[in-house]
Amino acid sequence: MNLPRLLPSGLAALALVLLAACASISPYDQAAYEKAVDAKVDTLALMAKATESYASHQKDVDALNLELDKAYEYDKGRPNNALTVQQWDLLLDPHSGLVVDFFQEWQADGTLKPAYVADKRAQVGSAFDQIIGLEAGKTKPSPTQP
Amino acid sequence: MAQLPPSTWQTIEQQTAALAASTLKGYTTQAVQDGQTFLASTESQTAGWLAQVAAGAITQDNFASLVRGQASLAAMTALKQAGLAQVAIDSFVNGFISIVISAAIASIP
Repeated sequence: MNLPRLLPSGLAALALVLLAACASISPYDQAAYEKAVDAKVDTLALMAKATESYASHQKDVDALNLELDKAYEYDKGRPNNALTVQQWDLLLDPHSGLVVDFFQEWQADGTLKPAYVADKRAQVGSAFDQIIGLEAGKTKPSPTQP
Repeated sequence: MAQLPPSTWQTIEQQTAALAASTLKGYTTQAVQDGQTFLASTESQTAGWLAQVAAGAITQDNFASLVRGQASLAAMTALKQAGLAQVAIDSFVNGFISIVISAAIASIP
């Protein structure tokens, strides 16, 4: 056995193992990114209709809640993803003044004032941007070799 | 016991300094800038919301909800920065391990 020849490849293998073990946060996930972007677009589109009667959009709100739940559960199932999950927790908390809070206000009041809807859409859009921005900033996995 | 030659340690030190500058310093500058932008926008938005309450364009309950939302947004922004800091630290740690291993391999006669 030629030990000097084997040593570099052994060290390289060790390096790969160490590198894999050193990630403290999940890598970038294209599906999670797309789910968050889609959820943002659909949420803001439905919020824009909050000057109309809530009753006429009840089914749309239910469908959106389902979409948001799916995006949340997807991120919740990823390892080392606690910070993103905490962001979703805030976004969907009924007392956070964000998405769920807004739809509860809409339901309670029937219709909402246009200026308030505009202000809230800007705020909720920024909240989604924090989730999207964190995902986009995560380390992209290396492209697989052909 | 085999030891790395001083020149190898010098290489490791130089490359580690360059790595820290590129991975950690860039992140810190961006985080400070983001924090300042958030504070400035919150100040102007709050003034705008108060003017809307005075004009009757939004209710006091709406205002309270907007302030609550802004506090949540601040927490979400902090979580994003914490995550990006972890990414920067991971990148530094992985880069450092690569530097040390590459330098060690290169020093093998």
